[in-house]
Amino acid sequence: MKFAGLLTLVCLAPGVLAAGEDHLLAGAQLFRERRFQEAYVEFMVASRLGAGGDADWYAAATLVKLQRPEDALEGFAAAERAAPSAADPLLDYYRALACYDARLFLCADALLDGVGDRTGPRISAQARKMRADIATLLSSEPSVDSIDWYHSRGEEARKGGRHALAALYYREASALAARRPDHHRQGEARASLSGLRKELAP
Amino acid sequence: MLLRRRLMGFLSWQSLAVLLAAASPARSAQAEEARAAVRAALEQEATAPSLPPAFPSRSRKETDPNRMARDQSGASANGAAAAAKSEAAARSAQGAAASAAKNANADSHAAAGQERADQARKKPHGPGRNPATPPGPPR
Repeated sequence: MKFAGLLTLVCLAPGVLAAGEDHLLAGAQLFRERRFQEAYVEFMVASRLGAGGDADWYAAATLVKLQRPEDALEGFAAAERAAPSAADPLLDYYRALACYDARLFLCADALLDGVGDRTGPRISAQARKMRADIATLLSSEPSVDSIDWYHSRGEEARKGGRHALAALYYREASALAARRPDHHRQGEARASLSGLRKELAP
Repeated sequence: MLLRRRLMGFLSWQSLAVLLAAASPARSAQAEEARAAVRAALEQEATAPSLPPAFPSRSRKETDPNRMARDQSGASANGAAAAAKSEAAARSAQGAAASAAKNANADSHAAAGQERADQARKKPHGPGRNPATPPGPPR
């Protein structure tokens, strides 16, 4: 009886795992065809079926293509918590795009710095161009209004229970404030980050 | 009887080991193949941002239709993402996500139309219009 149970488990487990990988393959095909919504669903299903932590990273990357940068950033943070070893320069590039689209330019710049030449020549060139554009932007002093915008987004994310995203906005606000002589609301940003760290702690 | 039971036990574990050994490399190869396919797709679609970086502003009205559509899409698709807890739920999320994207697209068109209408309203019309104002570009 025990043997029958074990045999069933042995036979079914690879089937379930293989099904997860089938969904990864389907997701890859749909992603290539730029059918990102469907690809996202396939990656989510793959993740649920235990295809490994990579599927969460792929789902987050797909959210970037779906122009949902904030959701993508939350997805990347969750994927990093679940499967930190699955990160690599290509996924970091997608994460940097999510930061860039959410206007978290310092966040994007730090990730792109890590991407460097560790991807193919095309992506490396794109990363260099993005860094150059960000450097140009950062050569000007950020306005009080811009820093207030980051605080407001951080507060909104925090109220919505999106603590990882809120932390990104406050970190950006703090780093940008450091680029102004008056350090506009930097202490406030740091205090918010400190509060969020407690909430983010496992 | 005891011998038979022992033999059965031995055979059971032997069979189990053989099955596991046979299934493992095939599964691992399939997993590798799947990951390679996804990575190739990700590399192919790793494009550069279409907009130059610009600091946001609380007071400045957002006029870029791409950004507006993106914000709208993000807000309305949150529920779809949360619903994808199982294959069945994920399938229904697909529909929701598609509908959200459709709405976002419609909203961006609507926003663009509204923008054009606002601009048209600001222009002077009728007999009292200022002749010094040059005509707008053709659409």
